[in-house]
Amino acid sequence: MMRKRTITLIVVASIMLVASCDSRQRMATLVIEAIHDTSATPLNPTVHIALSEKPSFTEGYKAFTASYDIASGGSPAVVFTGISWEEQDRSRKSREFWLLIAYDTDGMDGISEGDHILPAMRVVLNDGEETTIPIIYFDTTSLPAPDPDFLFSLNYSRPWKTVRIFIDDTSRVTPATRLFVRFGNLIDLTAGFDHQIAIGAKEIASGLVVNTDMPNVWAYIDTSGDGNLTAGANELISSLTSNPLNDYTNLILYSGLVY
Amino acid sequence: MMQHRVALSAVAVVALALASVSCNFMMPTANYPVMRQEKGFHLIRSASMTNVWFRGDIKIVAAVLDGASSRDAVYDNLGAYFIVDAKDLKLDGFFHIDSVGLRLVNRGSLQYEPESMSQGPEEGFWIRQGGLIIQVIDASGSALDVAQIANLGTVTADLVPALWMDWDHPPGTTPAERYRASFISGNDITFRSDIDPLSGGASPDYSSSAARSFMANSFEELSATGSPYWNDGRFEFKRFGFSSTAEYSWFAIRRFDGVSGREETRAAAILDIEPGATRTVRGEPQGNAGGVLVIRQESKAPAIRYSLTDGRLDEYRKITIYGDDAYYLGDSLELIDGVPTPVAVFGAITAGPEGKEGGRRITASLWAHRLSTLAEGE
Repeated sequence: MMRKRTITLIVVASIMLVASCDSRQRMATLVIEAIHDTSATPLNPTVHIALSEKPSFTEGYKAFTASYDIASGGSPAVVFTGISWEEQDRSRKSREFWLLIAYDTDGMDGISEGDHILPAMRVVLNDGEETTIPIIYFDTTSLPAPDPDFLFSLNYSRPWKTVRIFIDDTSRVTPATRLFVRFGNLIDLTAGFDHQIAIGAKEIASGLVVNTDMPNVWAYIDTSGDGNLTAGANELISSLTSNPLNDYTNLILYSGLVY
Repeated sequence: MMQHRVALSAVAVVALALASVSCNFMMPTANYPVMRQEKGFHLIRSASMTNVWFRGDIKIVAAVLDGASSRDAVYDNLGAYFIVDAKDLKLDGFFHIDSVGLRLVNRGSLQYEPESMSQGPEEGFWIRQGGLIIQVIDASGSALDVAQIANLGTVTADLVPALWMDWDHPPGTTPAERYRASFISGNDITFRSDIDPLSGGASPDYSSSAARSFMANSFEELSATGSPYWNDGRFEFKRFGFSSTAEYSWFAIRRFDGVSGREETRAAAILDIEPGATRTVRGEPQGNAGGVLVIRQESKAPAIRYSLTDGRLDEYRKITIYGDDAYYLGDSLELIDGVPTPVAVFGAITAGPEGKEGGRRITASLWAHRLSTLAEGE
C-alpha cells in the first residue's frame, strides 16, 4: 500500500517536472482544404500562401509558407503543422494570426508591386487544436456582377486599412451563405462597387487588412444562398449605407439589420 | 521493509522538491548586484534602484554612452542609457545612469525605434524616429527630443534617401571623417562621409555592389530556401555604424519569424578599401571600439559572450561580461590608474530578488577596458 502511494507520488512529481517548464508553449495546426477561382473566366493560378504574425505582405520573415495550384482543383490541402508560440499569460490559449494569399503576376519570383492579393485575413488559432478553413475564394478577373469577386493589386503607396467584422453568429458564414465585403467610391454600395471579396468560412470572417484607397466599405451575408444580394431575402447587412473606410473600421452584422 | 519504505519516501520527497524548483533548477543566475568581470575590466560606476512594478526577467534592447560625458575633460561623470524590455512589463522608457545614480526616464510622446539607439557627440543619444534621427536627453525624468540631427530623406543633395547615419569619433583622436551615411540603391549599398551631418556628403564615397543581396543570402537558419516568394532578398537593417580609424562600415541585419519568435541576427561589414566584398557572421554587432567591432554571441545570463573582430570580421578573441544582461556602450576617455585613457565601455544589468514592496532591485554597472589592449587582452 505504502509502496503504491510512493510510486504515485513519484509519477505525479515527474509529470510536474516535465510540464512545469513548458507550460507557456502553445502549438496549433492550420488546414486550408481548398482555394477556388470562381470567376467566369478563371485563370486558376498557382498562389502563394503565408501565415504571418502581422498583416504585412512584405515585412517580417514568413516561416509558414506554401504554394497551391488552383488549376488542379483538388490540390492537396495546405497543412501548416507545428505552429508554435510562447504565451506570457498562462490563461491565454489562443492567438491571432494573419493569412496572406498572393499571385505572382509578373513572375519575378518574389512578392512585388502589382501582384494580385486578397486582403490579409485574420485567423485565430487555439492551443492543441486544428483549425480547418474549408474554402477560400481567389478570383483573378475584373468582370462586373454576377462575377464580382475582385482582387487587389499590391501597391506600396496605397494605405492599409483594417476592417474588423463582428457577426452575431459566425456559423452563418458558409460556402453556401457567403459573407461579401465591398469596397468602393459610392456612398451606397448595394449596387455599384469597385472591389468585392467573398468569404465562405467562419474561420476567416472576423477581420481583414486591405491595401486600398477606396473611401467606403460595406458588407452583407448572402443568407438566401443565391449568390447575390437579394432584396426581401433578409440578407444580413452591415449598415443601411456604407461605412467610411478609416484606418480601423468596424462592421457589425446581426439579424436586427437586414436588406 | 521499513527501510525500503523510508527510501522510497525519500525518493518521492526529492522528486517533489525537484518539480517545485524545476524551472530554476540548474539555471545559472546572477548572484551579486555587481558581478566580477574578467581581467582587464575596470568598474567605472554602478548604481541601483528598486522598481516596484518590475517583477520578471530583464533584457537590454539597446544601450549607449552619453555622448557628452564620454568625452568631457573631467572624467568623473560618465553616463549611459539603457532601453530594456521586461517580460512581465513593458518599461516604456529607458534607464539613465550617471554620477547622480540610476533612474527611470519616461518615453512620453516620442515614437522612436528603440533598437536604433546610437551614441552622438552631444548630451543624450541619437535614435531614429520615422525618417529622422533625433537627439534625445533625460529632461528631469522625461525623454525630450532636443534636436533633429538628420532627415534621412534629405541628408544629401541628391534624391536618394539615406538608410542610416552614424557618428564616430574615437576618444583621443580627431578624425577627418566624423559622420557617415549609408544609402540603398537596388542591390548596392553606398556610403558618404563628411565632417558635418547635414552638409551633403561629398567625398570619400564607397559603393558596394550587390551587398544587399549578399547579406540576404547569408542567413543560415532563417534562409529563404523553400519560401523564396515571401522571403527572398528580404531582411531588416537593425543598425549601422562605421570605424573612422579602421575604415569599414558595419550593419546589424536581422530576420525575425514573428510566429515562433525565432530570430537570426548577423553582423555585416564592408571595408572602405575593398568595397566589393561584403562579409557577414552570426551575432549582433553592438558597436565598434575604435577599429574593433564588438559582436554579441548567442549566450545566456550570467555569462554574456562577445566576439571581437576586425573589419574583415576575423576574430581577435572572445570576451565575457557577467550580469543578467549586458551591452556594449561605446568608447570613452576615462581615468584608469589616474591617467586619462581611451577605453571601451560595457554595461551590465542585474535584477535582484523581489523585495517586500513587490518589485525587483535593478543594478546597472559600467565597465571599462583599455582600447589599446581590448583586441589582444591583458
